[in-house]
Formats: sequence, C-alpha cells, structure tokens
Amino acid sequence: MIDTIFIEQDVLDHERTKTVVSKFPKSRRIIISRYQEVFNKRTQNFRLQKKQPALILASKHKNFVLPAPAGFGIGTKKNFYFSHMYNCLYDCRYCFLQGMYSSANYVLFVNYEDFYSQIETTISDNAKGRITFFSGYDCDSLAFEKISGFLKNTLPVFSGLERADLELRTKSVQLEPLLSMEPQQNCIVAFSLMPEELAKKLDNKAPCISRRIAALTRLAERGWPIGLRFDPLIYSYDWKEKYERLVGSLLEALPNESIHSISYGPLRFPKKMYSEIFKLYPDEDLFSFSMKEADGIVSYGNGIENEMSDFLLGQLSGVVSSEKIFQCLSQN
Amino acid sequence: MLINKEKILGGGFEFSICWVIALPSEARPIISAFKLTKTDDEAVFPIYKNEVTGQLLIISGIGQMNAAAATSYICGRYNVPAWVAWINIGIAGYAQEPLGKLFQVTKVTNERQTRVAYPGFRFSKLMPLTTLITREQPCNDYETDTLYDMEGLAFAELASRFSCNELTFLFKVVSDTNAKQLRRIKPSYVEKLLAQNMRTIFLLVDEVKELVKEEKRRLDISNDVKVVLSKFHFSASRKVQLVQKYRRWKTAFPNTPFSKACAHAKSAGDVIHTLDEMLISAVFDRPSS
Repeated sequence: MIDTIFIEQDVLDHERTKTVVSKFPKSRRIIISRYQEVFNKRTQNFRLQKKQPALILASKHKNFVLPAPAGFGIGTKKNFYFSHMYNCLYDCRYCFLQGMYSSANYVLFVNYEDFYSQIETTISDNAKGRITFFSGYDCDSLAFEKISGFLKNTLPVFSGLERADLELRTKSVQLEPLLSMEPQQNCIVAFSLMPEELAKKLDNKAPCISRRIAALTRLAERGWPIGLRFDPLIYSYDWKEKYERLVGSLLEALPNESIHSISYGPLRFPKKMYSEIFKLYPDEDLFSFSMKEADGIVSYGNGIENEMSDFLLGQLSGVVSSEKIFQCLSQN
Repeated sequence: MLINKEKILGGGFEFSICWVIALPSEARPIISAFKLTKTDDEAVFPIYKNEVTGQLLIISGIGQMNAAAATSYICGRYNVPAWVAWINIGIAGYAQEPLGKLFQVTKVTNERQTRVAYPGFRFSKLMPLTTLITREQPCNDYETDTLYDMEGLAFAELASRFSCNELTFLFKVVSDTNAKQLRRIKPSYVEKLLAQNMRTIFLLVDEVKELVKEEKRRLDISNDVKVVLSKFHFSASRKVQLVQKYRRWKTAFPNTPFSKACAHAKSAGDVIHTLDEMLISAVFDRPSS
C-alpha cells in the first residue's frame, strides 16, 4: 500500500514513528529535514501522485487548533478544528484538498500530545459555553486509524469533558476503536453522505453508501451519537428522487434518538480552488454543469442551493427535530 | 534561428520521453534498444530521436552544468510539451555491491544538503528505491545506502519545471563501490552495465508512457479547438475560456460533433456563446452521459 515513508529527522526516534513504520516493513524510509520539502511543492502533480501516495511522518510546530470557518458548526457558538493529518485515502472529486495541495502524499503529524495540550488550552481560554472541535477537516478521521491510532489516543482526552464536543467526520467503515470502547456522548461520529448513484461516481475509493449506512447503524446500536452530513449537496439529474431515497434509507436504519445532528451545505469553492480542481480533472462530469461565480466563490447559485436545502429540510421535517439540523455555509 | 527551425520539426512529433544522458557509453544501449537515430547535426549537443515512439535523447556530458544546459537546450529547441517524461539514466557510485544493480532515485541532494529534490512517480515494484548525492567532483569515499553521481540534482530541478515532478525520473546503475574503485571507467564496461538492465528499462518505459498518456489527455488541446482557434481570432482570455468550456461541453455531450454544434458561428464570440447555450442543459449524472 505505502512503498515509501519520508520521515523528518526530528521524529525519527519518536515512539509513534516507530510504531507506524513497523506497519510497513517493506517500505523504503527516507530521512527529510521538514515535511514541506517533499509536500506541496510547486512542480508536484496531485493527480499523478494520488495514484501512489507516500507517507510523510512529521512534527507540527504551531497552529494545532484553529477556529473553524465562519458558518461551520453544529449548534455551539465556538467551533475549532484540528488536523493531525493532511490528505485522505479517498479521492472524492469535489474534495477541496485536491485544489488546496499540489501533493497527494499523506502527512501524519506524530506529536499528538501537542494537539491535546492546545485543545486543553482552548477549552480553558473559552471558559463559558460549549465548544465543538472538528476533526477530519484536512483528512478522514477514521480511515487511517489502523495506521495512526489517533482516535485511540484522542478519545480518552475528551472523556469526561463536560463543555467540549468532538466531531469525527468520516466516510470510513473502519470502526475500531469505536466498537471496542465505551461510547462517549460528547464524541459525534459524523458520516458524509450523498445518494448512492452519485457517490459511485464521485467518492472514489470510499466505501459505498450502503456500507456507510450499515456502519453508522452499528455505531448507533453501540450507543455512539451519530451525525449525518449532507455536505456538499450535489445537484444532478433526478436529484430529488435520489436524496429522497437516501434520507428514507437513513431514517429507516437509524433510531431517531441516536441522531445527534444533521448538517447540510452546498457545493462551493473559492474561485482559485475551483480552477485548480478543474485543471486537474477537466473531463469530470461534475464540472460540466454551469456553476456561477460571485464574490470569488463558485457555486450552483442561490436558486439551486435554496431549492436543495428546502427539499432536504422537507424530507426531514416532522421526523427529526429542527433543533438538530444545521446548515453549513462556507464563507471563505 | 536554429531554435525556430527545430520548433517546426518538433511540431509534428508525438512526444512522450526525453532522455538526458551524460555519457555516450551510457546512451548507446538506450539508442540501440529504442531504435533512436542521430538527428540535428547543427545542435550543440548530440541528439537522437525516434519519431514513431516519440523519444528524444540528448547526450549532455559530465556534470551538473552540462546536464542543466542540455535539458534546457532540448526543451527549447524541440518545444517539448508539458506532458513529456524526462529521464536521466546513468552510472553511479555506491558503497557496496552489487555492481550493475539498477535503482530509482527518490531523493537527490547536493553534498552540503542545501538543495534537495524528490523526483519521480515511484516504480518500486520494478526496482529498489534509493537516495542520490550529486557531487561536483568524482569521489571515492561512498557512504552507505546512497548513490553518487555528478548530474542528477541539476537535472531533477530543471526537468520538473518543464514537465512536473512526477514525470521526472532518475535511474542509476551501480558502476563502482568502495571496494572496487574505478580509476578510469571504460566505455565498454558502462555499456554492459546499462545493457544488462534493458529488460527492466523496457518495462519502465511502458509504465512511464502510460503516465504520459494520462497527462497528455489532461493537458493537450483538442483538434476541434485548434481548428476553431485557427479560424477565428481569440484574445488570450477568450482562448482560456474556449479551452475550458470545450472540455466541459465535450464531457456533457460526448457524441455531438463540435463542427456541427458550431456550424453557424461567425466569430470567437459566437463560439463561446454557442457553448454557453448548450452547457445550460448539462446536468451531472444524466442517464445518457
């Protein structure tokens, strides 16, 4: 799977580095000074690199916890995110990562404890009200768990925290360590979802929707709070029928009380990012549709966005409490 | 003058690979195996090509300066497009045996480690991967687990600008070790080292060509667009628009001939307008698409 591991000199002797490296006994290890010398260089080609990403083990030095973009949240006023990893095992065609980085290599920051320390500081600095921390902004929270062990280490940090929630955003059906741990009511396992037909075309390398539904059902049965994320909403031929079927399957599979929150958001890109992604995949059917550009953001436009939001809310209306439903509108 | 002349020659060329090789003895097995013929007698460096397979080869001479000069020279002289793969292959020193072993370089630095490059899509199933140090002078004190040459770094830094990092390749064959120093490398010996790896090199070239094909599909401008560009005057920004809108239109309507769609266009503006009109009805995941 991974034939080459680039390792920063400074983390060569880190216990976590040794653990990760031991999982790829046949891989070639190459020592580097800093991860930036092999990640996101101007001449790198994301599309070709994505065929065969290398793993980079590095140490993060700053910006461990950052404020979430405005318009992003599931009910709390204070929202933060952290990224222990850059890039993802999956290759979703609408993903912003492909427009953000020129490199598809996976960067794993092994100094988890520095993230935890900053999370604790952030909680103390925000003494009033609830805070939500989002994991899975620059990567998938669960997909790399067998290698990284990040959740296994991170969940205990949130255990017993009364004012802090953790959202684990994922498409993965790799459910350990969640199934073997006691569920934590402040840790929401949030699955990104879209109609099966669309996921087949767009969510490359990710588990199909029926497997994701089976996975979230198992987690719900185990007692983990579940998040349903319809973000981005994808406009397509017969989209109403497709989303109706998807919502129907989810509501049939999940007990209402297991649903912590539902969020939805439109497909939007900053203009430069859209241009980068289009350059990478100019023959992608998703981009054939005439999207609109306004104020530096490329989107379906207000008309379609509102129609899709209203339709989804209609499907959920009367079944899921409106207090659990949130719109995510990126305003970057 | 010469560059302009060769750009015209390069225009009919279906490029896929540019070889940049230091020594004639390193190049001969490649020239022979891929049936390249000498061309371009007025060129500053010896150049070989095979128009059928789309391969160009330049013999640079030893050292980083020569490697950089030859890489730039052939790129400019033949107007090499951005989807072409660049390959530097040659001999290198290594601390230990086995002599004749072929490696792919995944990291190359100078001696002081002040410059570094990480070239190439990796072919770890075909050969082992390793690191390379490019020196200014020949040496005879090789450290463990890294190769030594005199061209690799400059080549990697430059070629990746003309194409991309993933299509810039360095392959090295071990020619001498700490135990078996070479005072003077005999050309016949070098040829033999390369020749004995030709089976792997053929496999590599096949793999490289697949990547090149994919990049060409992504970057090349379709003939449909070229015809329209020659017919009407497009400003630079309109040309960009045309290329983008055509790609989207072709994806949405793969079975519609472009000439038919734009049959009534009388200007660049008409072409763009026609594409816009048709794209309004393009919807993702339409059953026929």
